[in-house]
Amino acid sequence: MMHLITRRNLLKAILSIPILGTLAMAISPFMRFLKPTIEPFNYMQGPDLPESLETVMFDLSLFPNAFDFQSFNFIQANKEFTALGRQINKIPGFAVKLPNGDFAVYSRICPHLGCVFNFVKDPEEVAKGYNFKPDGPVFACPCHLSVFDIQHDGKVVSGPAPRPPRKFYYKVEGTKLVISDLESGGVA
Amino acid sequence: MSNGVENISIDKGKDSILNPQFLITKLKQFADASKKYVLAQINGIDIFDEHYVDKAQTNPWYTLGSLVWLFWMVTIVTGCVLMAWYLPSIHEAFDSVVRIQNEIPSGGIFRGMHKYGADALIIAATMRLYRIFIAADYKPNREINVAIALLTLLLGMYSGLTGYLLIWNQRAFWATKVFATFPTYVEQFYLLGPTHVGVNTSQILLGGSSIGQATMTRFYSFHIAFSLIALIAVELYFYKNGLKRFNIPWKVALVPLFLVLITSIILPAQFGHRANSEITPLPILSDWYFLALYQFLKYIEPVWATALTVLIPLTVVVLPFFDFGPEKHILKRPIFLMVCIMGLLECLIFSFLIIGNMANIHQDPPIWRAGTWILIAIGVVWQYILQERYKQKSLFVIGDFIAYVICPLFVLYYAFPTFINGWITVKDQLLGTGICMIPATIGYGWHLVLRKKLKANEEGAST
Repeated sequence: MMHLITRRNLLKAILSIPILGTLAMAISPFMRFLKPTIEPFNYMQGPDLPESLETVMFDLSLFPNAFDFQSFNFIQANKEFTALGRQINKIPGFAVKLPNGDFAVYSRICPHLGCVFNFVKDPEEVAKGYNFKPDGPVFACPCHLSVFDIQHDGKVVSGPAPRPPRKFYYKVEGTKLVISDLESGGVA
Repeated sequence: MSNGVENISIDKGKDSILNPQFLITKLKQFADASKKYVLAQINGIDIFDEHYVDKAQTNPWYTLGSLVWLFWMVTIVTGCVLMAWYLPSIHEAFDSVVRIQNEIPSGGIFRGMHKYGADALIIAATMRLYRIFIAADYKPNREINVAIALLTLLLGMYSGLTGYLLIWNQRAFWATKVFATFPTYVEQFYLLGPTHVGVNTSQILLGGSSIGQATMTRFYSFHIAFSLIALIAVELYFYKNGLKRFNIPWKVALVPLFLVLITSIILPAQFGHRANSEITPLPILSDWYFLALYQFLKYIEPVWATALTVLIPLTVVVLPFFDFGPEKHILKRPIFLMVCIMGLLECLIFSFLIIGNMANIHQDPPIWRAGTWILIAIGVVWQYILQERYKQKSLFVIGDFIAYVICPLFVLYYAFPTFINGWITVKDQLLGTGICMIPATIGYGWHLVLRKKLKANEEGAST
């Protein structure tokens, strides 16, 4: 019983260090095999960001009244680990004119689990379908019943969504509403 | 008296913890006992009920493991046949599945047998897990079998999830989206956030930042790997032990095979609508065995939902280690009976609610949380009643364990997420937690009263 630490066991223990080290070194190439955008030995690298391909333009005359809205598809290229290397995605979006003359331009992809949400004008309909009665028109996701208040920066007023939907960067140029880019994050 | 013991130990000097010789002996004993325990666990490993060949002759519940193996083989064989026609490409997959189903002679039967065989596998694996819990097959020293039965079930479920995407229909596309968005919530945990482990997991699963051809290729690879690697491991295990995989006579085994065949003929497997990334189907559904989790997602904070999908299987693995004593009868282990009933009821009720697209995210959570609490509290009270009647010491340990460990854990699981749910009003939160606390108070109160009474009895007996 006193021979727990023999020469053989000690040598075995010392020998295991380089073997374990080699195995640890093999994790990085394997990770890079699965996700080629990771830099070598950088295990904590953040997500790959998509690239915006075209701007979307609307004529301001399409929005004569408050809460008039237009839906559009915004084209983005995402990294994809195939031979082609990238995938073209259509990100659905809404541009809504607010009563104060400003615009609310949001991606329609719910920040909760990626469903596509709707623009619901009638508060009664929201109260019936989404368990919450808002003051005005809202974005409401049918999957898990999240409701976003468009008049307060897309604040989550009901449901499990952890944050407001992602915003599009836009500006008004003359008589055009120009939507140029999308706030990053989330799964498309 | 305690002084006397100390004096003896000092006199002898042998049993002292400071004596190195004694310490080494104790360590050696501990090492031997642990080795014996681990060996007992390994020798008791039971993948397809191969240790119950005799018992299966009289008790049909012990054929469930063999049924799992049988249905697994059905899915492997029919899967190989389907591979001859299937095209794993996002533009052609749906058409190839429609063609297999409608045009290829007997293609619909093979596809149906693949689908219904997998469904039957999951039903058999679930029933087997329940049987292990109810019949306490994990006693003595076979707790690892619960983990193995759960692993069988989880591998079946993930094979189903990865296999479903291959059809490339609406349901599969959106189920995959939900499944792939899940891991990103790991980022919200304090220590795991900066590691980006969640987003990296999600992007490795998807093969990019969004669902596309790479996702389908990877899921196809996972779908086959889950069966292939498991098959090699299982066959090596049986080769080493020389045990019998199958404890049903072949003539009897034809009955379940025939049932799967008949189902696939009279109820052809569905293929739904082609995947469309712009329209979310309503209600958003997945395979039937994930439906309960989907309803759960509506009610609970996404971070907690992500944590609970890991915590629920972990609880199942850990639970049998806390079933002390040799008692095997389910009615004398009421806490475990109640856990089984709770799991089954929540699974069934949540599944029916999501199929009917019924959910009130403000009013339902307090009700189901209270229901869970009441079931567990019934188990605790029942356990104390049994303990008083049979004077079993081991039951007493369980009661204390439930009162001081399980109940606070349930507070953590169910009450705490209520408080951080931003969308539930303060009034709803207080009401919900209040309702949750009623059965807990009854349980704790009963516990205190009983404790006092038992102590009084003990003192009365000693004087």
